[in-house]
Amino acid sequence: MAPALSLVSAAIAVYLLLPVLIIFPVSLTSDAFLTWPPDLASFRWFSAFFDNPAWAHALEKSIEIALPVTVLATVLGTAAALGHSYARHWRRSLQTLFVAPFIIPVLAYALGIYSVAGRVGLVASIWPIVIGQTMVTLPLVFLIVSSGLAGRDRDLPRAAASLGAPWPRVLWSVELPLVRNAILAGGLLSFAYSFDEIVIAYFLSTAGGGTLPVQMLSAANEAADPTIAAASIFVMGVAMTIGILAVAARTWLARTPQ
Amino acid sequence: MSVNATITGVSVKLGSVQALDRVSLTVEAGKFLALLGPSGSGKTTMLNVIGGFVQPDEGGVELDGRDMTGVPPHRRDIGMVFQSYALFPHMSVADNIGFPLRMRGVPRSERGPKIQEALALVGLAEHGPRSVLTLSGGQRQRVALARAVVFEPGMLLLDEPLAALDKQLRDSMQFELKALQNRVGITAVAVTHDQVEALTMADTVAVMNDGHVEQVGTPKDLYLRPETLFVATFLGEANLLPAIRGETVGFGRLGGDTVSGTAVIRPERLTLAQPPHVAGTGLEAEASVDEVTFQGARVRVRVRLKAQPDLVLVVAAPPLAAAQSLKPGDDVVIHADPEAMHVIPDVDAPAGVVTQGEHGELAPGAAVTSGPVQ
Repeated sequence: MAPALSLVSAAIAVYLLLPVLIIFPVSLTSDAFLTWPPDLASFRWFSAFFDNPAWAHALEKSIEIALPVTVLATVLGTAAALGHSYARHWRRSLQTLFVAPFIIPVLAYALGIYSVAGRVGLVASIWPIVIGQTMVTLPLVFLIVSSGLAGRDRDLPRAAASLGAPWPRVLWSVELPLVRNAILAGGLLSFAYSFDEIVIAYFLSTAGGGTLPVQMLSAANEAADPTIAAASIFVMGVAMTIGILAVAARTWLARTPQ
Repeated sequence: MSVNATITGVSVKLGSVQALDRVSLTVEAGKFLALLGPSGSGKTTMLNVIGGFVQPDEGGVELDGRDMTGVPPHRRDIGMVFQSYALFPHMSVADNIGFPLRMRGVPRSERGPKIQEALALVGLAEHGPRSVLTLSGGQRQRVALARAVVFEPGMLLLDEPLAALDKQLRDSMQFELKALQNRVGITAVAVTHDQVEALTMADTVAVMNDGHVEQVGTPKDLYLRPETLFVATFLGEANLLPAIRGETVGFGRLGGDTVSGTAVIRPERLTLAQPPHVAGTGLEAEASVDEVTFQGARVRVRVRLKAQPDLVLVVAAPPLAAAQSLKPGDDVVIHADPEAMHVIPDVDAPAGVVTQGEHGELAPGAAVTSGPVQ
């Protein structure tokens, strides 16, 4: 039973990592086109990625968008989780509401914001993308912080109040420090999500001002050169680093008794 | 500065449950009141009303004559020890104790000595820099206590303060807590379901049941002169005998007393003798031994009255050889001190009719035990 289980797990892991296993060698090719099997041993396409102003600009754009998304999603998601943990009525409905952006197709958000942004004259800025991605990443933070809050001792905020702390102090000195790691994990994951997000970014970016994933998509349409592979390895590297950090933060959280 | 508390006609409805039903209580400054009752009796809700965590639907709380309606917990100047202790896990012991001082804007330089003083008060002078997560249950309890008194509040609330400790520690902490309360001179209200704890620590005990107060009194009053069957049976073991116009089954006439109701006598106030017996001055009844249990400090003997074999009484005999050698089936004579026979009059019943009163579940004539018995 156990060996069979390990075998299946290993197979699933390989299946999930297959794109990386293919794209990484491709990015190291010295050929001028995406080929398989690649002629290995060249960082040519990585330098192409970093030297090309279009790619550098896209990277800059991605970070420029991911940072406010992270801040907004973390603050709003944490506030939503805290509010939900204190709600006495409509708890289920509230939870469904906050998690809804996970279920509603992202396309709906992209199109909706597109039509509104046009009317209020925000099309040329990064803010429609920031707002859209914040909506979609908020559930992530909400769920992670909620699970952190669920494990806390309900008496702690009450104890703080009885000891003389008005509610803002209860929040700042007791509630938030208790779920610090969950908030950290939520923030990291929303950054990673925004960095990788394409649907909203594609719909709402201006000509020539796309984020990294958008730039990759258009580059792939024009010429399939291995810079795309190098770019995807870069995006993947960022995402994986953040993912590992988030997992580390959550493990740390799990070890801290509440 | 300890305060007195007056609770007037407090009613609280939690969902569809009437958690408190017009409860009135007073606590004198510097005194220790225990709210004693089974779970669901409303005692914790009462504590939460005093602390400001639950708003009463009716009635109110006054501290030193000041109406507390609408005053939030952080402005009530009340220290509270929670059942879970509720120590902040992300702070050291000293930071936990310093928290209420920090909230009151006490400068850092003054906080240190006060924290140290509070730590010394609970015997943990060396533990300031430690993380609360490394402390044992008993130490956490002390830190919670130190944190609740360090800012010299007018009142101390304790929610099942000893429930999470093991028995030995609990027993010694009862005395320690009482001594500390005395030394600090603070008004204290403690919630407990443990009658020994309540009797040991409190100056006054309020027995609560089903959202109302059954009886308020000194530990001695409650134990010796319970006003209701609930109080009689909740505080320790009680023998209940139906009494009709002063006449009890087996023991005959109670001196002078002609009320109808239920006579309560504690197992330790009954004595056993071997028949034939010399007629004494007290009340006596013939019985046969049903069960003998050696319990260390006493021998618990269960007997059935000859006059009414379905009436079971419990006698707590000193652990002497005579009691230890008793066997089921032995004939004995039970002596009862008339002084120790306390009659609870039937409330609703007309004189002369024995009913089960409002306590339908308690058949008079049964030996009832409730709660931990020492």
